[in-house]
Amino acid sequence: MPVPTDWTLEGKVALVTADARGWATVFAAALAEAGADVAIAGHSAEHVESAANAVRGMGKRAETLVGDFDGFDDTDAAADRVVSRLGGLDILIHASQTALGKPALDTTEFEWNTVMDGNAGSAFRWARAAGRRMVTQGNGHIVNVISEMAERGLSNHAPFSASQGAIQQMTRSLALEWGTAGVRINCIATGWMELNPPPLEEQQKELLVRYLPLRRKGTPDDIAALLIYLAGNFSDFTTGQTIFVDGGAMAHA
Amino acid sequence: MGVLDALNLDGINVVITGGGTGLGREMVRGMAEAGANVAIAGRRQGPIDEAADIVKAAGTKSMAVSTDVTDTAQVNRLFETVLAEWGGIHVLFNNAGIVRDEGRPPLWEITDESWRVGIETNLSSAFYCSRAVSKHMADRGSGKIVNVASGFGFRGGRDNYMYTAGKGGVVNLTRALGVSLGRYGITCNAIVPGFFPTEATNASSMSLPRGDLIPVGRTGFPREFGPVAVWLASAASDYMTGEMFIVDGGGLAGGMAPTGYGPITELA
Repeated sequence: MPVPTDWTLEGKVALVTADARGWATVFAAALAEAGADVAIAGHSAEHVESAANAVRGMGKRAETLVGDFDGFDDTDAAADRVVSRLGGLDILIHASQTALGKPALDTTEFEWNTVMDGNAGSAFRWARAAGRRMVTQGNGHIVNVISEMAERGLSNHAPFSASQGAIQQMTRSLALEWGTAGVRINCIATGWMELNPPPLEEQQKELLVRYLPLRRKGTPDDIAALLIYLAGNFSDFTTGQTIFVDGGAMAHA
Repeated sequence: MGVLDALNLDGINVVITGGGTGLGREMVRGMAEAGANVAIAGRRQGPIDEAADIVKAAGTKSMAVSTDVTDTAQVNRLFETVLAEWGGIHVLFNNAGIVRDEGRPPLWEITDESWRVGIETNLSSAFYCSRAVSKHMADRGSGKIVNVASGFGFRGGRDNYMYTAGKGGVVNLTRALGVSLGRYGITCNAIVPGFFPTEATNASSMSLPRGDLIPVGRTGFPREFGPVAVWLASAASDYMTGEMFIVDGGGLAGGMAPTGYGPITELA
Protein backbone atom coordinates (compact mmCIF):
# COMPACT_ATOMS: atom_id res chain seq x y z
CA MET A 1 0.00 0.00 0.00
CA PRO A 2 2.02 2.97 -1.19
CA VAL A 3 -0.49 5.55 0.00
CA PRO A 4 0.80 7.10 3.23
CA THR A 5 -0.70 5.51 6.28
CA ASP A 6 -1.70 9.03 7.32
CA TRP A 7 -4.88 8.70 5.30
CA THR A 8 -6.79 6.72 7.86
CA LEU A 9 -9.83 7.44 9.98
CA GLU A 10 -9.60 4.13 11.83
CA GLY A 11 -11.20 4.31 15.26
CA LYS A 12 -13.07 7.54 14.50
CA VAL A 13 -16.81 8.14 14.47
CA ALA A 14 -18.36 10.40 11.83
CA LEU A 15 -21.79 11.94 11.47
CA VAL A 16 -23.01 12.85 7.96
CA THR A 17 -26.16 14.80 7.20
CA ALA A 18 -28.05 13.50 4.17
CA ASP A 19 -30.54 14.95 1.74
CA ALA A 20 -32.39 13.65 -1.32
CA ARG A 21 -29.46 14.34 -3.68
CA GLY A 22 -27.84 11.06 -2.58
CA TRP A 23 -24.37 12.58 -2.10
CA ALA A 24 -24.23 11.47 1.53
CA THR A 25 -24.03 7.86 0.39
CA VAL A 26 -20.81 8.61 -1.49
CA PHE A 27 -19.34 10.54 1.45
CA ALA A 28 -20.37 7.98 4.08
CA ALA A 29 -18.86 5.17 2.00
CA ALA A 30 -15.60 7.12 1.60
CA LEU A 31 -15.32 7.78 5.35
CA ALA A 32 -16.03 4.11 6.05
CA GLU A 33 -13.45 3.03 3.48
CA ALA A 34 -10.93 5.17 5.37
CA GLY A 35 -11.88 3.33 8.55
CA ALA A 36 -14.57 5.40 10.30
CA ASP A 37 -17.85 4.24 11.75
CA VAL A 38 -20.55 6.52 10.38
CA ALA A 39 -23.90 7.83 11.55
CA ILE A 40 -26.24 9.37 8.96
CA ALA A 41 -28.92 11.90 9.81
CA GLY A 42 -31.62 13.21 7.51
CA HIS A 43 -35.25 13.77 6.74
CA SER A 44 -35.66 10.97 4.21
CA ALA A 45 -35.48 7.47 5.70
CA GLU A 46 -34.76 6.04 2.26
CA HIS A 47 -31.65 8.17 1.68
CA VAL A 48 -30.41 7.77 5.25
CA GLU A 49 -30.76 3.99 4.99
CA SER A 50 -29.01 3.89 1.63
CA ALA A 51 -26.00 5.71 3.08
CA ALA A 52 -25.99 3.41 6.12
CA ASN A 53 -25.99 0.37 3.86
CA ALA A 54 -22.97 1.74 2.01
CA VAL A 55 -21.15 2.03 5.36
CA ARG A 56 -22.05 -1.51 6.39
CA GLY A 57 -20.92 -2.67 2.95
CA MET A 58 -17.45 -1.39 3.88
CA GLY A 59 -17.54 -3.49 7.04
CA LYS A 60 -18.00 -0.54 9.40
CA ARG A 61 -20.74 0.24 11.89
CA ALA A 62 -23.57 2.56 10.88
CA GLU A 63 -26.26 4.38 12.82
CA THR A 64 -29.34 5.97 11.27
CA LEU A 65 -31.10 9.10 12.53
CA VAL A 66 -34.30 10.14 10.78
CA GLY A 67 -35.97 13.46 11.59
CA ASP A 68 -36.29 17.14 10.79
CA PHE A 69 -33.56 18.31 13.18
CA ASP A 70 -34.92 21.85 13.11
CA GLY A 71 -34.16 22.77 16.70
CA PHE A 72 -31.06 22.79 18.93
CA ASP A 73 -32.64 20.10 21.14
CA ASP A 74 -33.02 17.77 18.14
CA THR A 75 -29.45 18.08 16.92
CA ASP A 76 -28.06 17.90 20.47
CA ALA A 77 -30.05 14.71 21.09
CA ALA A 78 -28.91 13.27 17.76
CA ALA A 79 -25.25 13.96 18.57
CA ASP A 80 -25.69 12.37 22.02
CA ARG A 81 -27.25 9.32 20.42
CA VAL A 82 -24.31 8.92 18.04
CA VAL A 83 -21.94 9.05 21.01
CA SER A 84 -23.92 6.46 22.95
CA ARG A 85 -24.38 4.10 20.00
CA LEU A 86 -21.02 4.41 18.23
CA GLY A 87 -18.86 5.39 21.17
CA GLY A 88 -17.80 8.89 20.16
CA LEU A 89 -18.12 11.75 17.70
CA ASP A 90 -14.96 12.93 15.97
CA ILE A 91 -16.13 14.07 12.55
CA LEU A 92 -19.15 16.01 11.32
CA ILE A 93 -19.90 16.31 7.61
CA HIS A 94 -22.75 18.71 6.91
CA ALA A 95 -23.62 17.56 3.41
CA SER A 96 -27.34 18.34 3.24
CA GLN A 97 -28.85 21.41 1.67
CA THR A 98 -32.18 23.08 1.00
CA ALA A 99 -32.18 24.38 -2.58
CA LEU A 100 -34.42 26.97 -4.19
CA GLY A 101 -34.20 28.65 -7.60
CA LYS A 102 -36.79 31.38 -7.84
CA PRO A 103 -37.03 35.05 -8.85
CA ALA A 104 -36.61 37.24 -5.77
CA LEU A 105 -39.87 39.06 -6.46
CA ASP A 106 -41.78 35.77 -6.27
CA THR A 107 -40.01 34.48 -3.18
CA THR A 108 -42.22 34.23 -0.10
CA GLU A 109 -41.23 34.91 3.47
CA PHE A 110 -41.73 31.23 4.22
CA GLU A 111 -39.33 30.27 1.42
CA TRP A 112 -36.66 32.73 2.58
CA ASN A 113 -36.89 31.42 6.13
CA THR A 114 -36.89 27.80 5.00
CA VAL A 115 -33.82 28.22 2.79
CA MET A 116 -31.86 30.19 5.39
CA ASP A 117 -32.74 27.76 8.16
CA GLY A 118 -32.30 24.63 6.03
CA ASN A 119 -28.75 25.71 5.18
CA ALA A 120 -27.21 28.28 7.54
CA GLY A 121 -29.45 27.33 10.48
CA SER A 122 -28.87 23.63 9.99
CA ALA A 123 -25.10 23.96 9.58
CA PHE A 124 -24.92 25.99 12.81
CA ARG A 125 -27.15 23.61 14.77
CA TRP A 126 -25.15 20.55 13.76
CA ALA A 127 -21.79 22.26 14.29
CA ARG A 128 -22.93 23.39 17.73
CA ALA A 129 -24.24 19.94 18.62
CA ALA A 130 -21.02 18.22 17.55
CA GLY A 131 -18.86 21.09 18.83
CA ARG A 132 -20.13 20.62 22.40
CA ARG A 133 -18.41 17.25 22.47
CA MET A 134 -15.44 18.11 20.25
CA VAL A 135 -14.40 21.16 22.29
CA THR A 136 -14.55 19.07 25.47
CA GLN A 137 -12.50 16.20 24.05
CA GLY A 138 -10.02 18.66 22.48
CA ASN A 139 -10.27 17.20 18.99
CA GLY A 140 -12.74 17.22 16.15
CA HIS A 141 -13.11 17.86 12.43
CA ILE A 142 -16.11 19.50 10.81
CA VAL A 143 -16.61 19.85 7.06
CA ASN A 144 -19.43 21.86 5.57
CA VAL A 145 -20.12 20.90 1.96
CA ILE A 146 -21.43 24.07 0.35
CA SER A 147 -21.97 25.61 -3.07
CA GLU A 148 -19.56 28.12 -4.55
CA MET A 149 -22.55 30.44 -4.59
CA ALA A 150 -21.05 31.34 -1.20
CA GLU A 151 -18.71 33.54 -3.27
CA ARG A 152 -20.42 33.96 -6.64
CA GLY A 153 -23.84 35.38 -7.41
CA LEU A 154 -26.48 33.68 -9.56
CA SER A 155 -29.85 34.99 -10.65
CA ASN A 156 -32.89 33.40 -9.00
CA HIS A 157 -30.69 32.33 -6.12
CA ALA A 158 -30.65 35.28 -3.72
CA PRO A 159 -31.80 33.32 -0.64
CA PHE A 160 -29.76 30.24 -1.53
CA SER A 161 -26.52 32.11 -2.23
CA ALA A 162 -27.01 34.16 0.96
CA SER A 163 -27.40 30.96 2.95
CA GLN A 164 -24.21 29.49 1.46
CA GLY A 165 -22.23 32.66 2.17
CA ALA A 166 -23.54 32.51 5.72
CA ILE A 167 -22.14 29.00 6.18
CA GLN A 168 -18.75 30.09 4.85
CA GLN A 169 -18.58 33.03 7.27
CA MET A 170 -19.79 30.90 10.17
CA THR A 171 -17.04 28.41 9.34
CA ARG A 172 -14.38 31.11 9.51
CA SER A 173 -15.61 32.41 12.87
CA LEU A 174 -15.97 28.96 14.42
CA ALA A 175 -12.45 28.11 13.21
CA LEU A 176 -11.16 31.04 15.26
CA GLU A 177 -13.40 30.36 18.24
CA TRP A 178 -12.52 26.66 18.48
CA GLY A 179 -8.98 26.73 17.08
CA THR A 180 -7.12 26.40 20.36
CA ALA A 181 -9.66 23.81 21.53
CA GLY A 182 -8.40 21.48 18.80
CA VAL A 183 -11.48 21.62 16.60
CA ARG A 184 -10.99 22.16 12.86
CA ILE A 185 -13.78 23.37 10.60
CA ASN A 186 -13.58 23.90 6.84
CA CYS A 187 -15.82 24.07 3.79
CA ILE A 188 -15.63 22.23 0.52
CA ALA A 189 -17.38 24.35 -2.10
CA THR A 190 -18.67 22.62 -5.20
CA GLY A 191 -19.62 24.00 -8.57
CA TRP A 192 -21.87 22.26 -11.05
CA MET A 193 -22.00 18.84 -9.51
CA GLU A 194 -24.42 15.95 -9.93
CA LEU A 195 -24.56 12.42 -8.56
CA ASN A 196 -24.92 10.92 -12.04
CA PRO A 197 -24.13 13.51 -14.72
CA PRO A 198 -24.99 12.63 -18.34
CA PRO A 199 -22.27 11.16 -20.58
CA LEU A 200 -19.47 13.60 -21.47
CA GLU A 201 -20.57 14.04 -25.07
CA GLU A 202 -24.10 14.91 -23.95
CA GLN A 203 -22.84 17.33 -21.26
CA GLN A 204 -20.61 19.20 -23.67
CA LYS A 205 -23.57 20.28 -25.78
CA GLU A 206 -24.40 22.61 -22.88
CA LEU A 207 -22.95 26.12 -23.03
CA LEU A 208 -22.35 25.88 -19.30
CA VAL A 209 -20.09 22.84 -19.60
CA ARG A 210 -18.13 24.37 -22.48
CA TYR A 211 -17.56 27.39 -20.23
CA LEU A 212 -16.02 25.31 -17.44
CA PRO A 213 -12.21 25.04 -17.82
CA LEU A 214 -12.32 21.29 -17.22
CA ARG A 215 -15.33 20.85 -19.53
CA ARG A 216 -17.34 18.48 -17.44
CA LYS A 217 -19.68 18.49 -14.48
CA GLY A 218 -18.34 17.21 -11.22
CA THR A 219 -19.62 14.32 -9.12
CA PRO A 220 -19.46 13.76 -5.35
CA ASP A 221 -16.63 11.28 -6.02
CA ASP A 222 -14.50 14.27 -7.02
CA ILE A 223 -14.39 15.47 -3.42
CA ALA A 224 -14.37 12.13 -1.57
CA ALA A 225 -10.61 11.99 -0.92
CA LEU A 226 -10.52 15.64 0.11
CA LEU A 227 -13.28 14.93 2.58
CA ILE A 228 -11.13 12.20 4.15
CA TYR A 229 -8.19 14.61 4.38
CA LEU A 230 -10.25 17.29 6.09
CA ALA A 231 -11.78 14.70 8.44
CA GLY A 232 -8.45 13.39 9.72
CA ASN A 233 -5.78 14.61 12.11
CA PHE A 234 -3.29 15.11 9.30
CA SER A 235 -5.17 18.26 8.24
CA ASP A 236 -4.78 19.83 11.68
CA PHE A 237 -3.17 23.02 10.37
CA THR A 238 -6.04 23.57 7.91
CA THR A 239 -8.97 25.44 9.40
CA GLY A 240 -11.44 28.17 8.51
CA GLN A 241 -10.88 27.49 4.82
CA THR A 242 -13.03 26.84 1.81
CA ILE A 243 -11.55 24.50 -0.75
CA PHE A 244 -13.25 24.99 -4.12
CA VAL A 245 -13.50 21.88 -6.29
CA ASP A 246 -15.40 23.13 -9.26
CA GLY A 247 -13.70 22.35 -12.56
CA GLY A 248 -12.18 25.82 -12.61
CA ALA A 249 -15.40 27.86 -12.48
CA MET A 250 -14.21 30.14 -9.67
CA ALA A 251 -10.98 31.01 -11.48
CA HIS A 252 -12.86 32.03 -14.61
CA ALA A 253 -13.38 35.65 -15.63
CA MET B 1 -11.48 1.25 -7.20
CA GLY B 2 -11.71 2.77 -3.75
CA VAL B 3 -11.39 6.41 -2.85
CA LEU B 4 -7.95 6.00 -1.31
CA ASP B 5 -6.60 4.19 -4.38
CA ALA B 6 -6.92 7.48 -6.25
CA LEU B 7 -4.13 8.82 -4.01
CA ASN B 8 -1.69 6.24 -5.27
CA LEU B 9 1.24 7.89 -7.08
CA ASP B 10 2.89 4.71 -8.38
CA GLY B 11 4.60 5.49 -11.69
CA ILE B 12 3.89 9.23 -11.45
CA ASN B 13 6.89 11.41 -12.33
CA VAL B 14 7.07 14.64 -10.36
CA VAL B 15 9.39 17.60 -10.82
CA ILE B 16 9.65 19.93 -7.83
CA THR B 17 11.65 23.14 -7.68
CA GLY B 18 13.14 24.22 -4.37
CA GLY B 19 12.64 20.64 -3.24
CA GLY B 20 15.81 20.38 -1.18
CA THR B 21 14.72 22.31 1.87
CA GLY B 22 11.81 23.37 4.05
CA LEU B 23 8.29 22.66 2.90
CA GLY B 24 9.58 21.39 -0.44
CA ARG B 25 11.52 18.58 1.19
CA GLU B 26 8.46 17.46 3.14
CA MET B 27 6.35 17.44 -0.03
CA VAL B 28 9.06 15.34 -1.69
CA ARG B 29 8.91 12.90 1.22
CA GLY B 30 5.09 12.65 1.12
CA MET B 31 4.91 12.07 -2.62
CA ALA B 32 7.72 9.50 -2.61
CA GLU B 33 6.01 7.59 0.19
CA ALA B 34 2.86 7.59 -1.98
CA GLY B 35 4.84 5.98 -4.79
CA ALA B 36 6.00 8.88 -6.97
CA ASN B 37 9.34 9.25 -8.71
CA VAL B 38 10.62 12.71 -7.84
CA ALA B 39 13.09 14.96 -9.64
CA ILE B 40 14.32 17.68 -7.32
CA ALA B 41 15.60 20.98 -8.63
CA GLY B 42 17.38 23.56 -6.54
CA ARG B 43 20.34 25.89 -6.57
CA ARG B 44 22.48 24.05 -4.06
CA GLN B 45 23.55 20.48 -4.78
CA GLY B 46 23.83 19.41 -1.12
CA PRO B 47 20.18 19.82 -0.08
CA ILE B 48 18.75 18.39 -3.30
CA ASP B 49 21.02 15.34 -3.00
CA GLU B 50 19.72 14.83 0.54
CA ALA B 51 16.12 15.10 -0.67
CA ALA B 52 16.90 12.60 -3.43
CA ASP B 53 18.15 10.20 -0.74
CA ILE B 54 14.77 10.50 1.01
CA VAL B 55 13.11 9.43 -2.23
CA LYS B 56 15.49 6.50 -2.68
CA ALA B 57 14.78 5.39 0.88
CA ALA B 58 11.08 5.30 0.00
CA GLY B 59 11.94 2.94 -2.85
CA THR B 60 11.17 5.10 -5.88
CA LYS B 61 13.31 6.81 -8.49
CA SER B 62 14.88 10.20 -7.88
CA MET B 63 17.01 12.77 -9.59
CA ALA B 64 18.72 15.88 -8.22
CA VAL B 65 19.18 18.54 -10.90
CA SER B 66 21.04 21.68 -9.90
CA THR B 67 19.00 24.53 -11.39
CA ASP B 68 18.63 28.28 -11.03
CA VAL B 69 14.91 28.64 -11.78
CA THR B 70 15.30 32.31 -12.73
CA ASP B 71 17.49 31.32 -15.69
CA THR B 72 15.27 30.09 -18.52
CA ALA B 73 18.09 28.19 -20.21
CA GLN B 74 18.65 26.21 -17.00
CA VAL B 75 14.89 25.71 -16.58
CA ASN B 76 14.57 24.30 -20.09
CA ARG B 77 17.56 22.04 -19.48
CA LEU B 78 15.95 20.75 -16.27
CA PHE B 79 12.88 19.50 -18.14
CA GLU B 80 14.93 18.13 -21.05
CA THR B 81 17.04 16.19 -18.57
CA VAL B 82 14.06 14.68 -16.76
CA LEU B 83 12.25 13.85 -20.01
CA ALA B 84 15.35 12.21 -21.48
CA GLU B 85 15.75 10.09 -18.37
CA TRP B 86 12.14 9.23 -17.46
CA GLY B 87 10.24 9.83 -20.71
CA GLY B 88 7.36 11.75 -19.13
CA ILE B 89 6.45 14.34 -16.51
CA HIS B 90 3.02 14.11 -14.89
CA VAL B 91 3.28 16.71 -12.17
CA LEU B 92 5.20 19.97 -11.68
CA PHE B 93 5.51 21.65 -8.28
CA ASN B 94 6.62 25.27 -8.56
CA ASN B 95 7.83 25.52 -5.01
CA ALA B 96 11.02 27.59 -5.29
CA GLY B 97 10.88 30.98 -3.62
CA ILE B 98 13.01 33.21 -1.46
CA VAL B 99 12.63 35.31 1.58
CA ARG B 100 15.75 37.45 1.48
CA ASP B 101 17.39 38.82 4.54
CA GLU B 102 17.98 42.44 3.73
CA GLY B 103 17.29 43.88 7.14
CA ARG B 104 13.81 45.09 6.14
CA PRO B 105 14.86 48.40 4.62
CA PRO B 106 12.30 51.17 4.08
CA LEU B 107 10.76 51.28 0.61
CA TRP B 108 13.02 54.12 -0.59
CA GLU B 109 16.12 52.05 -0.01
CA ILE B 110 15.10 48.96 -1.97
CA THR B 111 17.23 48.52 -5.05
CA ASP B 112 16.14 47.59 -8.57
CA GLU B 113 18.21 44.45 -8.17
CA SER B 114 16.35 43.40 -5.00
CA TRP B 115 13.00 43.90 -6.64
CA ARG B 116 14.05 42.07 -9.79
CA VAL B 117 15.51 39.06 -7.98
CA GLY B 118 12.51 38.83 -5.63
CA ILE B 119 9.96 38.88 -8.44
CA GLU B 120 12.03 36.57 -10.67
CA THR B 121 12.39 33.95 -7.95
CA ASN B 122 8.95 34.13 -6.39
CA LEU B 123 6.83 34.68 -9.50
CA SER B 124 8.64 34.44 -12.85
CA SER B 125 10.19 31.06 -12.01
CA ALA B 126 6.70 29.53 -11.79
CA PHE B 127 5.90 30.94 -15.22
CA TYR B 128 9.18 29.74 -16.75
CA CYS B 129 8.77 26.20 -15.41
CA SER B 130 5.08 25.96 -16.35
CA ARG B 131 5.86 27.21 -19.85
CA ALA B 132 8.71 24.71 -20.21
CA VAL B 133 6.58 21.68 -19.28
CA SER B 134 3.23 22.77 -20.76
CA LYS B 135 3.74 21.56 -24.34
CA HIS B 136 4.78 18.12 -23.12
CA MET B 137 1.73 17.90 -20.84
CA ALA B 138 -0.60 19.18 -23.57
CA ASP B 139 0.73 16.56 -25.99
CA ARG B 140 0.03 13.87 -23.39
CA GLY B 141 -3.43 15.35 -22.78
CA SER B 142 -2.90 15.43 -19.03
CA GLY B 143 -0.78 17.03 -16.37
CA LYS B 144 -0.86 18.80 -13.05
CA ILE B 145 0.88 22.01 -12.09
CA VAL B 146 0.97 22.96 -8.42
CA ASN B 147 2.24 26.37 -7.39
CA VAL B 148 3.21 27.32 -3.89
CA ALA B 149 1.82 30.74 -2.99
CA SER B 150 1.56 32.23 0.50
CA GLY B 151 -0.89 33.92 2.80
CA PHE B 152 1.05 37.04 1.78
CA GLY B 153 -0.47 36.53 -1.69
CA PHE B 154 -3.79 37.61 -0.16
CA ARG B 155 -2.78 40.06 2.56
CA GLY B 156 -0.14 42.72 2.91
CA GLY B 157 3.12 42.12 4.72
CA ARG B 158 5.01 44.93 6.43
CA ASP B 159 8.27 45.86 4.66
CA ASN B 160 7.71 42.84 2.49
CA TYR B 161 7.27 43.99 -1.12
CA MET B 162 8.82 41.39 -3.41
CA TYR B 163 7.50 38.41 -1.54
CA THR B 164 4.00 39.84 -1.15
CA ALA B 165 3.69 41.06 -4.75
CA GLY B 166 5.34 37.93 -6.14
CA LYS B 167 3.05 35.58 -4.24
CA GLY B 168 0.00 37.66 -5.18
CA GLY B 169 1.13 37.17 -8.76
CA VAL B 170 1.41 33.43 -8.20
CA VAL B 171 -2.21 33.36 -7.00
CA ASN B 172 -3.51 34.93 -10.17
CA LEU B 173 -1.06 33.07 -12.43
CA THR B 174 -2.60 29.92 -10.95
CA ARG B 175 -6.07 31.05 -12.02
CA ALA B 176 -4.91 31.98 -15.53
CA LEU B 177 -3.11 28.66 -15.98
CA GLY B 178 -6.13 26.76 -14.65
CA VAL B 179 -8.56 28.53 -16.97
CA SER B 180 -6.23 28.33 -19.99
CA LEU B 181 -4.83 24.81 -19.74
CA GLY B 182 -8.03 22.95 -18.82
CA ARG B 183 -8.71 22.34 -22.50
CA TYR B 184 -5.49 20.32 -22.71
CA GLY B 185 -6.33 18.21 -19.70
CA ILE B 186 -3.92 20.13 -17.45
CA THR B 187 -4.94 21.43 -14.05
CA CYS B 188 -3.19 24.13 -12.05
CA ASN B 189 -3.73 24.85 -8.37
CA ALA B 190 -1.80 26.50 -5.59
CA ILE B 191 -0.93 25.49 -2.06
CA VAL B 192 -1.10 28.50 0.24
CA PRO B 193 0.99 27.96 3.37
CA GLY B 194 0.59 30.07 6.45
CA PHE B 195 3.42 30.36 8.97
CA PHE B 196 5.81 27.44 8.90
CA PRO B 197 9.18 27.98 10.52
CA THR B 198 11.86 26.66 8.14
CA GLU B 199 15.60 27.19 7.82
CA ALA B 200 14.93 30.00 5.34
CA THR B 201 12.49 31.92 7.51
CA ASN B 202 14.58 31.39 10.63
CA ALA B 203 17.62 32.81 8.85
CA SER B 204 15.71 35.81 7.48
CA SER B 205 14.49 38.98 9.10
CA MET B 206 10.92 38.08 8.10
CA SER B 207 8.80 38.28 11.22
CA LEU B 208 6.75 35.17 11.85
CA PRO B 209 3.95 35.58 14.34
CA ARG B 210 4.09 33.69 17.58
CA GLY B 211 2.03 30.52 17.61
CA ASP B 212 -0.41 32.00 20.09
CA LEU B 213 -1.47 34.62 17.56
CA ILE B 214 -2.53 31.93 15.09
CA PRO B 215 -6.09 30.61 15.52
CA VAL B 216 -5.00 27.01 16.13
CA GLY B 217 -2.45 28.17 18.69
CA ARG B 218 0.74 27.13 16.91
CA THR B 219 2.78 27.57 13.74
CA GLY B 220 2.71 24.78 11.16
CA PHE B 221 4.85 21.67 10.95
CA PRO B 222 6.46 21.29 7.50
CA ARG B 223 5.46 17.61 7.48
CA GLU B 224 1.82 18.73 7.38
CA PHE B 225 2.41 19.49 3.68
CA GLY B 226 2.92 15.85 2.67
CA PRO B 227 -0.75 14.83 2.50
CA VAL B 228 -1.73 18.04 0.68
CA ALA B 229 1.00 17.51 -1.92
CA VAL B 230 -0.10 13.91 -2.42
CA TRP B 231 -3.72 14.91 -2.92
CA LEU B 232 -2.88 17.64 -5.43
CA ALA B 233 -0.48 15.36 -7.35
CA SER B 234 -3.00 12.53 -7.50
CA ALA B 235 -6.11 11.69 -9.51
CA ALA B 236 -8.15 12.48 -6.38
CA SER B 237 -7.91 16.21 -7.18
CA ASP B 238 -8.75 15.92 -10.90
CA TYR B 239 -11.80 18.20 -10.73
CA MET B 240 -9.99 21.07 -9.01
CA THR B 241 -8.29 23.76 -11.06
CA GLY B 242 -7.40 27.43 -10.76
CA GLU B 243 -7.88 27.15 -7.01
CA MET B 244 -6.08 27.64 -3.74
CA PHE B 245 -5.52 25.07 -1.02
CA ILE B 246 -4.92 27.15 2.09
CA VAL B 247 -3.12 25.51 5.02
CA ASP B 248 -2.53 28.26 7.53
CA GLY B 249 -3.89 27.35 10.93
CA GLY B 250 -6.88 29.60 10.34
CA GLY B 251 -4.93 32.80 9.68
CA LEU B 252 -6.75 33.93 6.55
CA ALA B 253 -10.13 33.08 8.11
CA GLY B 254 -9.59 35.93 10.53
CA GLY B 255 -7.98 39.35 10.39
CA MET B 256 -10.35 41.58 12.32
CA ALA B 257 -8.32 41.29 15.51
CA PRO B 258 -4.79 40.05 16.22
CA THR B 259 -5.91 36.94 18.08
CA GLY B 260 -9.23 36.51 16.29
CA TYR B 261 -10.96 37.03 19.64
CA GLY B 262 -14.07 39.20 19.61
CA PRO B 263 -15.98 40.72 22.54
CA ILE B 264 -19.03 38.99 24.04
CA THR B 265 -22.27 41.01 23.85
CA GLU B 266 -25.98 40.33 24.48
CA LEU B 267 -28.99 40.94 22.22
CA ALA B 268 -30.32 44.46 22.77
